[in-house]
Amino acid sequence: MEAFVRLVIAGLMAGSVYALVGLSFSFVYKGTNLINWAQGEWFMLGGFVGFTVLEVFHFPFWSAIVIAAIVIFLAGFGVYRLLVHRMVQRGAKLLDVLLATIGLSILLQNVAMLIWGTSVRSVPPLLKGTLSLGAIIVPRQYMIIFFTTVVAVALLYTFMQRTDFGTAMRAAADNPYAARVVGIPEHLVNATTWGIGAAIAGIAGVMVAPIFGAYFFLGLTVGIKGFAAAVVGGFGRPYGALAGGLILGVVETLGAAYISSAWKDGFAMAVLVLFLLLRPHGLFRAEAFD
Amino acid sequence: MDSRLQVRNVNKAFGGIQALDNVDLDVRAGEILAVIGPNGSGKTTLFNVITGVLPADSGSVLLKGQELLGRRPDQIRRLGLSRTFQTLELFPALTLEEHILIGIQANTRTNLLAACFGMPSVRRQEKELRSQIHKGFGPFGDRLTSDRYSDRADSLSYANRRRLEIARALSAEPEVLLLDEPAAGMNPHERAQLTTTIGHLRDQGQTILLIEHHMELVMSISDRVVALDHGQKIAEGTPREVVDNPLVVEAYLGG
Amino acid sequence: MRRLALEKLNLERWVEPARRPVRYGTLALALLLPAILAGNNYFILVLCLIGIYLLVVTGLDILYGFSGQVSLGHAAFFGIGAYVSAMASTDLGISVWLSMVLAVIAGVIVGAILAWPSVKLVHHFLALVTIGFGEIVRLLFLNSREVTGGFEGIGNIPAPSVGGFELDSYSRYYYLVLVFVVAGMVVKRNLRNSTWGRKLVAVRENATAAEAFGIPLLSTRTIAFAISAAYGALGGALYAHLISYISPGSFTFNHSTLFLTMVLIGGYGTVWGPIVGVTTLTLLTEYGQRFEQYQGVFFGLAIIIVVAAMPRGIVGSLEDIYADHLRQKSHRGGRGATVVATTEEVDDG
Repeated sequence: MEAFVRLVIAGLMAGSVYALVGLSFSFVYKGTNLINWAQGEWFMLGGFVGFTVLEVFHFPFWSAIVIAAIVIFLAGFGVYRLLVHRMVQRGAKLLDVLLATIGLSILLQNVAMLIWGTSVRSVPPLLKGTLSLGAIIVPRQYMIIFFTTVVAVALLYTFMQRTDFGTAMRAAADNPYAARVVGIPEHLVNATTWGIGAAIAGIAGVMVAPIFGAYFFLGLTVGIKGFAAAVVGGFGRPYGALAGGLILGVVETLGAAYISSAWKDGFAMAVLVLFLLLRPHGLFRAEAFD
Repeated sequence: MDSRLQVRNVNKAFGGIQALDNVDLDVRAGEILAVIGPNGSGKTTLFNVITGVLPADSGSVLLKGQELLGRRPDQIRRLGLSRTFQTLELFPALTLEEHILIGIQANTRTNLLAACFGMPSVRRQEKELRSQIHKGFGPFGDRLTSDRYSDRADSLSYANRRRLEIARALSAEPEVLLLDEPAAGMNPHERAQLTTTIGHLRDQGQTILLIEHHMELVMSISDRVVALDHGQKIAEGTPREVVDNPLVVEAYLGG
Repeated sequence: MRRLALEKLNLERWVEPARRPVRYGTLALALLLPAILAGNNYFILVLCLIGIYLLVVTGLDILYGFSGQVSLGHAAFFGIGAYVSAMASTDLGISVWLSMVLAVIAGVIVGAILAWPSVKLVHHFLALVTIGFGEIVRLLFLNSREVTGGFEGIGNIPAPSVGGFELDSYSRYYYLVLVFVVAGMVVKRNLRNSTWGRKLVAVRENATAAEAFGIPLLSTRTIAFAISAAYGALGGALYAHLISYISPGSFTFNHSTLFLTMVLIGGYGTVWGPIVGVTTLTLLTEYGQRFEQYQGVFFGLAIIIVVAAMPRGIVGSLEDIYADHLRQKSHRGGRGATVVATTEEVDDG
């Protein structure tokens, strides 16, 4: 019984990570009707920024979060301004941007490999030690991850629905022409959206680095699972990404423990494929068909 | 009365809005029936329901006795209905002749394996089809000339795109041709030419169901007119009758 | 200004007559390569690999270039072909030729089964399904020790024989691959110039219009998938009997991405596109070993640049320039979409 609960908690933790990455995919999609395949790489880079700040410069943990958020926000913003904006102006569609960002993700993985090498870099946790919930022992770092995820989802949702910028963002996504007519600087809004989306993934990367380590290949697996989480929950829906991520994380962890650990990555893939074939609009209903 | 297309009691709602409300009409052989109505009256929805793009909630649409509702657009095309789109749905990277070939080939079947291996039967069929390209352009051949056959559709001027859209639909030799605002965006001169061309098509026996906003076009060539407002048919008859109908006047001018 | 200069060049004067000679010349060159390179066995192996990848990429181009569907899981079909042919010829003792046939059939069946429920999805979801599928297949290869040898793979895969003549050298195998490559490209060209080819590209260009003109979307897309899976599986089978040893590590997501990149860089939907794409990338990876660490960076950049600036790829962009040139010359008036009446309209009036 204890073992089961411990597994579920570990699954929820992994799921929170997938949820955050999935959230970043959904956020960018909701705000700009485009998909950035490289969100997983922002996550990976967040971990490396964290590593550099903490292990190389020895700054405190909270600064790692802030620096990662800013650096990766700028990177995401820059990618939009320098690459995506130009493509869209030339008439590129979602598929073209998707393909280009696949190239981007390969580029970022390899750049990370060049800068930080191929071995896994370890990062010290923000909160050391563990917490006891009855008989279960949970690393304190997990708590931060859960907390961050829930707060991020709630914040983002409120931001999109209640703030002026969020409204501007949704307007620009809904009807770019009309948005321009009423004076919304559509491309600035879109670039900021991409920046925020990147930053979310980056922050997730910093949070989780103490647990997984920083590794150039991490972005690929976490990225696909994050995307899967977003799809399962309903692509474009923030609370969906949360639900999808948690489900995916728990299924994966339990599956690896009780069925087969060799198939660990396969569980997430199986859930993804099943949802796409049977319920592509996800749990909370989004657009899925051509 | 030789009715080619029978629309009976067709209903379609979107959420709380009744886009089509018990719509009934007949398109008779060799006539031009125009559907008019203010924006949002359900004209394009009617086309989309007839051509299978949207499912109807209830009713029936018969083409030569065959029920169209519930069928896919490609099946409906093969039963003999062909259409143009208000928003222009060309194949941007494909050439003019490919557009016509696609229109013509809708009535043919080709064995996939035979095609892969370049069998003589397929080559013959291809030759057959290509020999009909010129004919396929029909009355638009004087604008869409043979030196342009290999040009991409997205290199055409706007008016020529409109013409290609219609030529493609026509080349499929449909029982009933559905034209959705065929002259949209054209200048008056082009529109007048197109109007004459469409009239000639009818004179040569083509049955046409037409959605149109421009009243001169409607008045000059339609045999009969149906007016829609808020999804309901509010008038039907000769162009003069419908245009003078007070309900129609109010629909256009009123709230 | 650049257009005027090009016009003066009268490109068509030397492009048109060059078409046939180039085609047959390349074929002749391909036939003579092993003789020319006698002694450089490694290079002949690379040529065999180029041929095999060309087969896979040609198939992927039929899927992406013709019907416009993204598959990021094509390594799975490559792998299925390899494993089915390998298992049939080693465990079951079936002749190599029959094993290859079985491999292709397996590819077609799996391709059709995957495609049928997936092709109704939007692009990005279809791409995801193919990724998930690719990963699941790879894990299947990796975790089914009894059947596929698991991590260690399958070895001692026999080479095929023609009559009593065994194709056990790279040079001999090269001709086998060449035959299939030429056949594959001829089939692709035949397809494109038939009603089927037009159906496929119509679906890519405008699905709504395609359907309105009698083309059933789901079955057409599924057929495209099945055909491209057949190509991929055939490539895999040829690969297995060439290298005589296969393992799951050769059929990963990275390989799938590589295949798609080859299509994109060379130019989708064209005959020469895959040739250019496969050759450049294979030569770069094989001979760029010195720069191995930078390969990935280059690769990623190449995808970005091609998709953003040269979406039609190398061959496609050249074809476009040439087509523009022809059109400039054949009629007065400008190219490009204009909403206002152009000179031609006013003149005709």
